[in-house]
Amino acid sequence: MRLKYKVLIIIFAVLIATFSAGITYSMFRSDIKLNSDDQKIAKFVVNAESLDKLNISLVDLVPGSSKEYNFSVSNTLTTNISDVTIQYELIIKTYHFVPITIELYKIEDKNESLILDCNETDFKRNELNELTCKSNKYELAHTNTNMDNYKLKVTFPIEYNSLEYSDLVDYINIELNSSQK
Amino acid sequence: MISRVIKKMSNKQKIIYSLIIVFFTLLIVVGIPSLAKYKNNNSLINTTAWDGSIATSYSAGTGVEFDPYIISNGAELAYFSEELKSNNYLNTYFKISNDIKLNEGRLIYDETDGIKYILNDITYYVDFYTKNYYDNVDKTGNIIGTVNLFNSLNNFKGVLDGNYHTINGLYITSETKNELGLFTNLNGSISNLYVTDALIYGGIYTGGISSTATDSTIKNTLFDGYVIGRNTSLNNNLNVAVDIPAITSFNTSNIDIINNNPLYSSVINSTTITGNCEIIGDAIVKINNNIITNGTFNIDLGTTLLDNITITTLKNTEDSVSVTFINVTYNISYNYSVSAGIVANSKNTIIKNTINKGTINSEYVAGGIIGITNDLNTISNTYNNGIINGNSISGGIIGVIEKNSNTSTLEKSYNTSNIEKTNSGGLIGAVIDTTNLSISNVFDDSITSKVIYLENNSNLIISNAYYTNTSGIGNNSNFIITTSNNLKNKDFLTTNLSLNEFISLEDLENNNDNAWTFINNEYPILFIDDIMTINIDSYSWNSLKYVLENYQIDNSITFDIRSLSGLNTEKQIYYYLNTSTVPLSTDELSNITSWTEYNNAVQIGLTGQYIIYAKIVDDTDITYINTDLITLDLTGPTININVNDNTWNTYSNNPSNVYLDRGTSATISAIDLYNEVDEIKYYITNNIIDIATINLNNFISYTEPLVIDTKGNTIIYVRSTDTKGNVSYANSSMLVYDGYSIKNLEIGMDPPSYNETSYNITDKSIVSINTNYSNSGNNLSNITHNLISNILLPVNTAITVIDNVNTKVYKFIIPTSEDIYGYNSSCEELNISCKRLATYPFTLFKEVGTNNADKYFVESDYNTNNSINEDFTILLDFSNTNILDNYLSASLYLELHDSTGLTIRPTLYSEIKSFNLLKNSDNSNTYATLNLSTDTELQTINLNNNSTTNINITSKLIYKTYYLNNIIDTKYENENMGLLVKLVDSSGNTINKDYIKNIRFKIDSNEYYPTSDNLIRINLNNGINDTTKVLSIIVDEDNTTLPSGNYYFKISNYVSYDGEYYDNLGNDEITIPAVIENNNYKNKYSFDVFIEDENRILSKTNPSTNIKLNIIEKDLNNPNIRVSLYQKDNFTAYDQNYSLVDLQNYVTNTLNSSLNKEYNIFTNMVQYDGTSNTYNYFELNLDMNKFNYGGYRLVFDLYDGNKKVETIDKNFIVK
Repeated sequence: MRLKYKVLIIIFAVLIATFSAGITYSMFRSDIKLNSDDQKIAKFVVNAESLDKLNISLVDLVPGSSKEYNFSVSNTLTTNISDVTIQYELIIKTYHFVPITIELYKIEDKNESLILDCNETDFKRNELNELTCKSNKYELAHTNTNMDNYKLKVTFPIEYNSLEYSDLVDYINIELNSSQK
Repeated sequence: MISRVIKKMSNKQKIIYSLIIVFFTLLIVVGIPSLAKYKNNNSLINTTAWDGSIATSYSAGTGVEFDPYIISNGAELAYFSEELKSNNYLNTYFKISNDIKLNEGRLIYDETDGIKYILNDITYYVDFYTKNYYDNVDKTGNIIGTVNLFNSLNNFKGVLDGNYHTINGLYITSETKNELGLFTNLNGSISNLYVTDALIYGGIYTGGISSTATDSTIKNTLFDGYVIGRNTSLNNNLNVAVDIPAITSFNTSNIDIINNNPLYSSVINSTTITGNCEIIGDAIVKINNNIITNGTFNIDLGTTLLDNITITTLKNTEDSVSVTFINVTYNISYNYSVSAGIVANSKNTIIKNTINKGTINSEYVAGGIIGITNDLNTISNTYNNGIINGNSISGGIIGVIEKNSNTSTLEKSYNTSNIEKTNSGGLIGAVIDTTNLSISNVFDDSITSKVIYLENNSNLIISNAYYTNTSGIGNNSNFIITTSNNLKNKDFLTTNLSLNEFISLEDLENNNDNAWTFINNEYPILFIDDIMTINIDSYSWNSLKYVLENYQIDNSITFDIRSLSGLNTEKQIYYYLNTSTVPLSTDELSNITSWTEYNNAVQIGLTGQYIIYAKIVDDTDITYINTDLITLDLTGPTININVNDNTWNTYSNNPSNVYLDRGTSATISAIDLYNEVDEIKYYITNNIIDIATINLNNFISYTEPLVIDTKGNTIIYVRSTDTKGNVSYANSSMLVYDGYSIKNLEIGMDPPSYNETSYNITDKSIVSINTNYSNSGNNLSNITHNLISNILLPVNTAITVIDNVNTKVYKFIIPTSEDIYGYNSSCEELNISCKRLATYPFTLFKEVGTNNADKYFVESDYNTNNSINEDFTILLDFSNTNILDNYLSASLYLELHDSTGLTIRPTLYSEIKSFNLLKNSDNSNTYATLNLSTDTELQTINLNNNSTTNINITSKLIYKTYYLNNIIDTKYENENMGLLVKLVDSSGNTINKDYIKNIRFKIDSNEYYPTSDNLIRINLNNGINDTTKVLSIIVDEDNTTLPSGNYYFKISNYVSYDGEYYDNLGNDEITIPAVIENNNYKNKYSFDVFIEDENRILSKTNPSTNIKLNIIEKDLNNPNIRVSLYQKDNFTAYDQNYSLVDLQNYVTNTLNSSLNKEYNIFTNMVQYDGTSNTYNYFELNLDMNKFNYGGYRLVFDLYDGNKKVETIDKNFIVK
């Protein structure tokens, strides 16, 4: 028998605005920009208007490793399109069947601050049994900062290096709940 | 005493009292006379008719000049008549204080029906010489009633002042009396009296005012009614005593008896001379050659009238003879009668300012004013327009003047009645044996046969006497022919006939000849005439005219409606102002219900043209009169200032704003309806000014349209005058040449992406504009923002409005293809008046970025700081439209409307740009295409050897063109190009990445490898610009694990946002052949289960889900595979225990049961050759309703016979 320690994680990351039918393409076009080394990871286009264009990224994650997914929430700054002030919060939903840690960092001036540790202790499951972790509300002011940078860090602790953790499946869903202020 | 009082006053008191005295003095001097002119003007007196009773006294007075007896009603008038039976009132004064109505109904005479009495619109018939009336013309049956019969005022020798009152309804008749009239045997003075609707029937001397008047004066009197002389059994006898002196000599002698003959026109029945003659001695005595003998004689002369009696005596003897005549009488039996409107038989009587309007009938002599006179005094200022019917002879003014040798005068009189009887004279019927008659300043304008029918043995002094009927000159050549128009012309009448104009009653006291009033194109009339007139200034009208002249009135129109003298009448008067210039007919007037009762003078102060109508309602008659067309021009010309579709023609000190979106011109015109426009001047400024303070020198003569092409405020003031000097002003609104500015129309959302000079886009593209406006000094409310498009935007066009000032975003998707946005699709394209513009109010736009799904754009007033600052970005996204036609020169801009829909802020026209939205069709593919090419000669790559193959790859996005200009396809905006590389076998199957680990792909020193889907993606990171790169395919021979054969590298290009995962894959493909000649591929024992990624996360919302499993196996003797389902026990990662459940309960397909909830799925294995063709395919149809939210695991067991060889778990999540 061959042990498979490869953990298949499906990150089903979606930025869904609660007003999904009305987000302008222009405002949220830029969405997630990655500085990650792994360009192949989480290169999804966020477009709440067109859900069928959501991208699914596969990641191989093995015990003892971690992956970081950088993304940003921003307005597109073009010559034509000005910004509006957005108030938003990030929501992580996961079944958490894989013993990984899920941490969300906000990156400001190259400093990272942990804003959300999505664990079963601090957060509850919803009616779909999803572990639902909600960030504080942030504001994207049109006058200055036009982009908020985040890093989602997923870590598979080395101690779970046993057969029972092979071929597990999980997903992480990130929702952006935003509104014009 | 007064002086003492004055002395005690202070100076201040003296001034005050002086002012009071001056005021009242002025009131007396100015006010009272001016009021007097309109004395009794408002005199619609409804007098109660006389009841036939006789009063026992007058209402007041003592009969002296300053305290006359006052007669105030019919009973007192009857009392007056009674009193005259015993008192001739010599030198006694009377005055009438009210209109007197003697009969309620109206008396009319006609030749056919006799005397009719019309009461309450019912006609009765009065029996001749009685007061009884019947309901039938034969006067049979019962007497219906009686009219009031009045007894003539006989033998009056006093003075009666009618006080300009009316005696109405006078009825006098007698079968036996020879004299009938209001007065009979008058020997006094009558003045200021109207006798109307009178009917006097019978008599020999029958007069409207008096039958006979001797040494009397009749002034200021009008008669209207009927004077009908007796027409049966007239038989008069005239017995003239002939005084024959004693015959002293025998010869023939004549005794003149001519003046004893009956008046002219009498019909002689017989003449005789009778008497007694005593003849003593022998003598022959003849009277008119008739021998008479001693004793009585009776000489029958037949019907011959004698001028004299001839007595012839012959003495046959020398003896004494005596002849003595005793009681010689000249006897004439004749028929004769005289009727006249004023006096039938006038003797030495003055008649002045008197009118006859009545119908005068006589068997013999009829005259309008006088019937017959042989002692005429003066007739002055009289006229007749009544009907004169004298069977023997008629005269408009006088019937017969006969045997008149005293100096007498007929002057300032005229006749206009056409006397149809033969033997008629327009002025005089006959003048016989008359000398010293002066006729002057008279005229006759009638078709009466002659002016004076007969002149016999008379000497007339005629001057200024006119006539118009050339056949009517008669025997007198001193009359002057003239025209009717002259006789209606004031200048002619005052110059040639010396008619003096009436000024006032007060003036008349001293100037009795100032009695005439001149009406436009009418005969002159006396002030006493009761003709109703409409009077404006010096103009008067008294008839209903249909051919109108135009009169201009300078100031306001003040008209009154009154009788000429302004005296009382028993009439109801109404007026009607018509602004139509077409006169109304009697029928039309009778249908008008909006007559206004006339009480006082009416003033019209509005410019316009008027025809003033008056309706005078007498007892039974309705008379209409009208003015000519009266033009009142008090206003200056009507100014029109025209700018585009706006017109202004009034002055406003608070003009509104009108916004212009482009330069334009203003035209000015002025018209004056009633006069000519004298000048048009304008003053153009940028400030609102008060017209009252403007310096007239600022105005410039207008000659050509004014150009308005400077951005900012402009207001035009115009001053125009007409030739009368009336001035009018008008100004335009404040013309504000301002509005929204548009930055260049941009294609796409990220305009720097494109540098096109033309604006062609595909029908799935996006265009955007940024429009802004800022201004201060505004206070706007109830405004609406509107997006205006010259095309009806296609259904599903997504419009996004970004309010950059308030940082809001709104969106609206066109829901319909119907024209519900006011586009006017049906308009012709070139129809300027029917603009095809669609309007999309911002209130349609729903705010995005809010949890309130129904929150729409809210319009706000600009009334806080009076400043406007707006900046909108508007995107049109046609991605979801299905456009069937090209939309050429489409444009989009913003307008601000007020609550009425009026544009109060346009977009500056010069800044509106247009674009072409071009459809995609089979014939015209407008979409951009991805192009991939290489200029490298492609060689087969041997995958057994180490090699590096460099290939130049060029990736392009190629736009289609429209008239040589690119058609921008914005769906590629912000995309990145990438290259997609894969290795396929000879069948085209993609080789699994596990078998190509010896191959690397390199561009720009970056190496790329297959990803989980076995594809190599290379992000060119260059946007959508043309890119040429060198792709290096590096092969390391050692790692080749594929079987020998032919393979191919397939290279495509694509675009996607990140350049990695393609959204749009190009159609071009570069194929590079590859070959494996010697491989070290070895098949391995293997068992694996593949499950698609999407089947690892299953949703309960999909009621039926198939899990597709690809299973491989190899090198087993008796392989079979079993599957079972486990459910995760806890929702945590830290408990990985699962419990077996029966898979059959979770699937809809029937499974081949084995033992312990395991199910056999395959027994016949396929030898895996490294391609998907050799997968075993297995599918589970899951019934998702049976699953819970949570984790599940499929366990696949590989058996070789009954020996479990290997187990593979596949986890999935149900969410």
